Amino acid sequence: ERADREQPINIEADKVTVDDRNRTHTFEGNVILTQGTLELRGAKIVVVQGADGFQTGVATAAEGELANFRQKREGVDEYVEGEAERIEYDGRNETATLFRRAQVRAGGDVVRGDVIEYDALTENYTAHRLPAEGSEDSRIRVTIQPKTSGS
Amino acid sequence: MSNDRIYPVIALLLLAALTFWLERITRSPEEVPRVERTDPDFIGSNIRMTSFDEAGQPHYELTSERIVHYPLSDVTDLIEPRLLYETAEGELRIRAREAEAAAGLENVLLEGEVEVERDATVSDPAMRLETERMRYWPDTQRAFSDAPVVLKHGNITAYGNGLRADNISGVLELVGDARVQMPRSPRNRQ
Repeated sequence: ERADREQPINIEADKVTVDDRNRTHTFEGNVILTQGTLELRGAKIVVVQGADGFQTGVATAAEGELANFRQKREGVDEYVEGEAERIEYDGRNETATLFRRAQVRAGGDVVRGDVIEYDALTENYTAHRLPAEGSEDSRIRVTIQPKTSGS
Repeated sequence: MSNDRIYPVIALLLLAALTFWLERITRSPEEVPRVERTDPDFIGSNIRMTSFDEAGQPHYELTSERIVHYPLSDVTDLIEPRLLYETAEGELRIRAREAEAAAGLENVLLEGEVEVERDATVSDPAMRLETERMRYWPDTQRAFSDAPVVLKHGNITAYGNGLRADNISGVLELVGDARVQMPRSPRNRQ
């Protein structure tokens, strides 16, 4: 949602390790990063700051689980939701890149793949299949719901 | 028991009696249990102490409006203590309303409006840390707190219910309900 862009970033966790010299905050334990309506959750989020504030957040989950994010869509009471083993959120470009067992759901559409890039500004997402991954689920599966009359 | 077996036993008994008797007469009469004094044995005011590192360089300066030493516990109470480290990169200042220093000043328990301030450097904004209680090791700059902590560093504010740091100027760990507020960097795209 556009209004998200001006909001500060808030991050909560059980513990944070602040490494000023390397401009890195490592959050561990029930970590929730929020910026306006964007929410990124994981067991661990490593945040790197630029000279003037939040730059990137890399979320990973506990063994066997998935990090996830959700964000309210512009002007619609709907959310885009995504999950993956690793989610990199770039605050400057406002993109989230989902790695391994990636899935994004938006308004009934579902996209799965190895790597999915979600652009929070344009609300577009593109899925990639890693070459020669070999595993059965490395194909991109896209399910597009017929557009309802309303949207 | 035949005769020749009895003598060693008698000799031992005599020896025991002798030592018991000697111990009795040598015990000094005034060895009455000392009353442990709980009052201070010395008090100082406007104290300034400079610590030197192994290379003989000044390491930190400790000043205090008043210090009170208690012989029983060998603890020194410091009123309005200030610690000052001057490094090439700038100053680190630590202050509190009170402190309790165990023998040898190996570590101090700072209490009451504890503030840690580190000057900004060319590449690093100023840092300020506030808590109500913090145990601090002046030589290694190690710090530990089990009280809520607020850390301000440049435009970032972090909160926690406790603090662990091997070096107060290096990596800090805020534990328990850690929360951080951070402005976002300006976007690359309009």
